[in-house]
Amino acid sequence: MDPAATVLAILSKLQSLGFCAGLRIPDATAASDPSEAFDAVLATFLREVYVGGREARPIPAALGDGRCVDLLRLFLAVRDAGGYAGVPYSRGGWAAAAESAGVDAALAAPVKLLYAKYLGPLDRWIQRIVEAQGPFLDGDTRQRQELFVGSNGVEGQEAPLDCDGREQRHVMLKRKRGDMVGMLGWVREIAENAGDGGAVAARSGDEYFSVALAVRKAVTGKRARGANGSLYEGIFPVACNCSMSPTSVGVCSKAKLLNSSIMLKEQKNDLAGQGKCATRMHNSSDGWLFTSQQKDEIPVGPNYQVHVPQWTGEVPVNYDDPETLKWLGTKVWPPANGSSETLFCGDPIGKGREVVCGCNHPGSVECVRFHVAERRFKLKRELGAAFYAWGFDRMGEEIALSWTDEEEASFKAVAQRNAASSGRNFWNRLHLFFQFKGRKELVSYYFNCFLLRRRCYQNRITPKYIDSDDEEEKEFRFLGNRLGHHATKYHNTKHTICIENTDSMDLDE
Amino acid sequence: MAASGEGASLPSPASGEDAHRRRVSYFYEPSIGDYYYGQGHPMKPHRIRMAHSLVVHYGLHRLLELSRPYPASEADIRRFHSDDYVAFLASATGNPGVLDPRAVKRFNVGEDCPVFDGLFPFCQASAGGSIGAAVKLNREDADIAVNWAGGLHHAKKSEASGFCYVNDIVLAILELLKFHRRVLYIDIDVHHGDGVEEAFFTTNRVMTVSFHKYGDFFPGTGHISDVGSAEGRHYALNVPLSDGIDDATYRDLFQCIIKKVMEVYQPDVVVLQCGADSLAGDRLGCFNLSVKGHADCLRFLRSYNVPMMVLGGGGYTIRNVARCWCYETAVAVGIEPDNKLPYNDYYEYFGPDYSLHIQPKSVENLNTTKEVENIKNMILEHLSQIEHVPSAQFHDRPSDPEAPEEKEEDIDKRPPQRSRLWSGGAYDSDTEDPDNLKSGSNDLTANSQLKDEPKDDQ
Repeated sequence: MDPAATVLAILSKLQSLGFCAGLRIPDATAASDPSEAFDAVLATFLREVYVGGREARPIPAALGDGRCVDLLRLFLAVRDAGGYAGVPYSRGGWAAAAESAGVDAALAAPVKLLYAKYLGPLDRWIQRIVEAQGPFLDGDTRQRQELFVGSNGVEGQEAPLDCDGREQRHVMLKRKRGDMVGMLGWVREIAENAGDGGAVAARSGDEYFSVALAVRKAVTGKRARGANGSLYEGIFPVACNCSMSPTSVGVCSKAKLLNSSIMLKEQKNDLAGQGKCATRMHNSSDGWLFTSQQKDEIPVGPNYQVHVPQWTGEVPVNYDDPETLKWLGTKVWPPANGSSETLFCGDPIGKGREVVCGCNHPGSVECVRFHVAERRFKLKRELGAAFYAWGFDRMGEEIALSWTDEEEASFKAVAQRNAASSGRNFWNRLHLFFQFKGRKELVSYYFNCFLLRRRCYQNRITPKYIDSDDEEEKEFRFLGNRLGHHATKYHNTKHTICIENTDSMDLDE
Repeated sequence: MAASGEGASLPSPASGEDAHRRRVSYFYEPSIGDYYYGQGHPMKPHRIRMAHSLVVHYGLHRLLELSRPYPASEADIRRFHSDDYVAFLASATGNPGVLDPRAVKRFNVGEDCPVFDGLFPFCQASAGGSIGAAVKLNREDADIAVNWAGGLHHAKKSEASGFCYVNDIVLAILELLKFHRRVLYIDIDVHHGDGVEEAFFTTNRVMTVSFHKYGDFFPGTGHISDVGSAEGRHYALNVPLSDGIDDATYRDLFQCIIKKVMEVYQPDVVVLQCGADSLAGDRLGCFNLSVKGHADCLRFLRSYNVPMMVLGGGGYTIRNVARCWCYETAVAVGIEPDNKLPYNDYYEYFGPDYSLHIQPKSVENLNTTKEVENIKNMILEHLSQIEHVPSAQFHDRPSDPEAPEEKEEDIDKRPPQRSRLWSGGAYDSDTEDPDNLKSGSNDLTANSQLKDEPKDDQ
């Protein structure tokens, strides 16, 4: 079946469910650009599934860096590989799917997520048809069932039972803490509303079900390692199953679902705690100490530990060889020829700044800039060669001196247009824009000037909201122009606010 | 300002007075700040440059010996890491298009651990500094050796993890083990020090002690019942904590546990990982420590006069990381710096208050007194297992390898129970009798609390 016919088949199935009633796609249109036709069907479907638009997703679908994903090709690739649950991550299944959807194979994880968000609902609704009428599209019963019967049978076989203790850790990333908690809330909700679990899952599931799948995979891995995992089986496969096919909760899995909700509750009180997984998730409120035995084991073996020789009491005799001495590195301080004069010409050690200064507007940008420059001058005298060896000549706002006004304005404009919230990669654009500046120079400007000036603005205008770290601001604001010449005149919040709407914001558009 | 009579010493069981100078060696790679993990990535090597700028503007360099590290070679890194992983790191470039997807998966690079431009030189500098610090201590050139670019404690033998690629700590400890029989590793990062624990999980020559947030938190390991295995059984300690822990609670727990660890294990050298993501307001962390509270860990250990390596680690609110590591450098050299930051190259980063210290946040401390007591008791119970190890193993300490100038004096001042515990014959009856263990530990607690009170300057 060619792609165009597949799209039309999907449309007619959706229409038989009452979706996309007003959508008409001529055969010729579908044939000329099946992907676009599919996008149109999907957009209409998603809009109707999520009434109110809260969940509406932009189409065409794009990854974080702006690259578009061909949803039809993705859908077909995944279908051919055996469905969402059947695509084995570890064997490059998603990488292959990503490639067939026109993006890099390295982006398997985001593509999988994208599939879950965009195509998960479609999968689930089409599943209802499978339930009611048997397989559709290409008539291959076996294949269709693998695609739509959900995770219960397929993933259990396909997901490799990974005995490598490492596998489970991939689930938890250092940066992403919210997903797990949300997903668990969702799983718990299903468990607690076991009677109408399918409805719950259908309502809110697709946000979390890929996370739940990942967790389940990890748990499966753990089970293979011989951990006491019987309870996981009771909880996760069923919960995930719900999300995959909300209407297909059979008698057997329904019973399991009910069980799991009971287990979840029991575990919270079970001091002996043989249930591991759920308690770990709830442990921020319950004392983990007694309720939880869930823990990731430390793997043991030559692939994990380092060889530590027995202590013999003998220490190396040749510890003055060049191989050892190289580790001492290059001594920068105290200077080899350092006289006591150069060592002690500065302020007392540990001294901070003077509270009072003779500037016209203490605390103003101008005042700060003056004192920093003065300080650097002193330091250069005291440190001598070390000043350069430590890179102080490449620290702070002074590095902007090698940038022209136009370059600085361009940098700011590029950064503004491509802030993290835009989903675009700011550095790719910068590299395009500044082809003659190396990566190091751009990064250096970013930390030494760009962020410093943003903080300068925050300190004076929004002192309660300072942030040099998450880079997720929608817009970057600055005082004044290059080196803040305008801004230097205004030393306190009141003044600067007066100025904010006039000339000192000239580069903020 | 002047060498502190008061700030830089806490009363500790090891020594009454602690105002003596230490020879402090400090490794700094000037290009470190220009490495960049990528847009929006919380790990920013720039923080190390900011810390260095503060250190120098406070004039602390005058009390330091500063070196630029020698970059660790592939062969050096292979002392711990597997050949194929090291080869991958050395060849990886910042262009994701040319990466082998199988390697990406196998070595866990990608999302948390991106392959960025200059990745390998960055790892070389980090590892080179820590190995250099170890050599300094081995040669007895320094009493304390600092490398803020080190402390990347999640890296595994064949795998990157949690923003860490090369485990400089394991490499440094391997170097220390050439001269030191027992190495104590302490980790105060908000995340569990899993890479180091794992590497030394089966040896008793390295004891790992990690204080970390546990429960629905990266990396997921570090349960209190994980104590090591085989010969290393009972030589890994995990102190799992909940959100919002404050200075007082942390200090009480840290000092109580470390005091016992020092007594029982008698390390020849201590490695302290000072991950600054345990500070209040960290972008990824959830503890509520002030800079002072964080640095009290270092201060406490320093008072034992055991050679010490001090490493960086996590820390994602970069202005606070710079504050913390600058202050800890000051603590290492025995200086109490002014709270008003000197003007420096990154002055505006520290606004609007422009001060060295930070205020804890007004968040709830979810570590209840009861839980903390339970943790303490369980840890002390784990430690009591070590005391039952045949004493011969620890009986004769090798000729004290490090002798800071005031060592003799300090040993004299040590309270008698320290040597008694270690004489091999006369263990305290209360530590042998499980029924008495609790009262014994309560005494310990009471002790440390009592001692803390007059010094509590928060």
